[in-house]
Amino acid sequence: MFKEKLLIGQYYPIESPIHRLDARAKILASLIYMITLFVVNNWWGYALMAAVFLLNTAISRLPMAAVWRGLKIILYFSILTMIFNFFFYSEGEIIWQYKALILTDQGILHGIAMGLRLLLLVAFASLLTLTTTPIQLTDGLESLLNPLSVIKFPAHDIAMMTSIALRFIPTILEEFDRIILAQRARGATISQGSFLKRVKAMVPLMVPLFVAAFRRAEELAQAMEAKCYRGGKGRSRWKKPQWHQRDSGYLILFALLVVASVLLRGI
Amino acid sequence: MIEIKGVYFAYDEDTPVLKNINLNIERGEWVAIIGPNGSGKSTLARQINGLLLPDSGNVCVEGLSVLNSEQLWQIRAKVAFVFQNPDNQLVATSVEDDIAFGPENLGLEPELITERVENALNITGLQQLRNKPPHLLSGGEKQRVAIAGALAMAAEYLIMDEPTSMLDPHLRTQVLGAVRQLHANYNMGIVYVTNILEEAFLADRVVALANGVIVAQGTPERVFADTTLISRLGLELPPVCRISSLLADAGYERLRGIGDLDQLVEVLCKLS
Repeated sequence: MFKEKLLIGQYYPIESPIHRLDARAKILASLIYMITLFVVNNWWGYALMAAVFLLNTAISRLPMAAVWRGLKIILYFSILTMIFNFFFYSEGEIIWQYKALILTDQGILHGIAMGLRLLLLVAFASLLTLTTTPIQLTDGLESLLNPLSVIKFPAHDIAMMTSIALRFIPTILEEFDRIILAQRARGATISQGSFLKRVKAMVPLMVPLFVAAFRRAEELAQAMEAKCYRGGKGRSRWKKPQWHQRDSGYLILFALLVVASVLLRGI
Repeated sequence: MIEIKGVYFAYDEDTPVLKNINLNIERGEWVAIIGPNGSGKSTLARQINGLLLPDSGNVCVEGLSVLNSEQLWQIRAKVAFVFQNPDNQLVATSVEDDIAFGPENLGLEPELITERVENALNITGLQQLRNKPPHLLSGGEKQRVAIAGALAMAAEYLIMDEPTSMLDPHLRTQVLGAVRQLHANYNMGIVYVTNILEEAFLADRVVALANGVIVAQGTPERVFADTTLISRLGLELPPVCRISSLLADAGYERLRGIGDLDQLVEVLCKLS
């Protein structure tokens, strides 16, 4: 039930040049891509960004269906953004007016651009999670944040917390489904009635879920302690991320993308 | 050797859970701790690797004391622990990463970790599942991953707290098989907490606990021969044992305490 719905954007295990890249290169590239999206200010720019996204998808050999599945939800938001921008942008020639609502020619273009920006932003981020295992992702994040431990930033702990969260998401969702069934068996109506009624019906689901999660957390902490876990102290890494030339190459391409997008602003 | 010396322990002051426990466990020995719920079995198991510390008395493993905070970490490297709930002891997002978790904590070199992980995967027969995430494993497989993790730590002792109580019978044999192998091939000392007496039968020695006190210990045959004790503890003898003790009560003394079906048949045949 809930499990299938929420597992979108999860790692898609196939072989591809993008899958093989170091997680750090992919994280940095995604960051650069997102920032560049806000540099771009005309259609040439958006076309370039869309092309980069499509090229990446093609090289990653992901089936379009897998990428699309993750984008469906964000598409609603994207369309919503578009509509809002249509009506709240007052510059340009008025095409249509109803009381305070104004639709202008520039407003339409601006709305489409905003919607596209949001869509590309999330789409590219989803490429990252589709082509990188959670463990690579957290390892990469830890390694990127590690320099910050000089100022006492808990890079290791954050990475460990993230990876434990990722490990337990499916387990806890399974549990949630079980609790729903258990409450249904006792005659609870969960998906019927008014909004308020449904919110109220969530209480007998959330309380046992939280209690169980806390119990899990405590047992897990014991298990980790029994396995000599004492934070990042004295700990080694089994699969250290390896930086290759191809990773540097990938990042150089994204640096060129920034240059290109700045140049395209002038057109 | 594990030495438990005069251990008292209470979660809250008024109700002591362990009262003056004295117990030595040799390396390579298999000890089963039995007793009803609330008898202090799990609490006793947690004393051995210092997850709980004694209020008075001491616990030493190979001469290291749990009361010394530096030695405590050395003890935990020697004494691995497998918990009851298979779901809540796997940390990583894949089988092999979870097995590597312990060795990583010990700060071992990556090459050595690879060697240990491979070795543990081979022994527990988990090679096929190495990249699977924990939530796609069966309960028995999860417990085997936990055992493999203990193996990768190169532990000398393995403590198991009712590791099969949440498993189906056929998965139970799977897990017990893995434990048997560790015991036989690696001379690992095993402390096995259970209230399933069939499982306790595999042990060299059974320690019966009631209300935080050791009430009996000895070979399974000897402890299980005392049927009044077993029923007082609220435990259930395995069927073979029940038959042999009934026959013994009926006058066939030689059958007392036999728990193995083949052995029972053999002795019965010789009787006539």
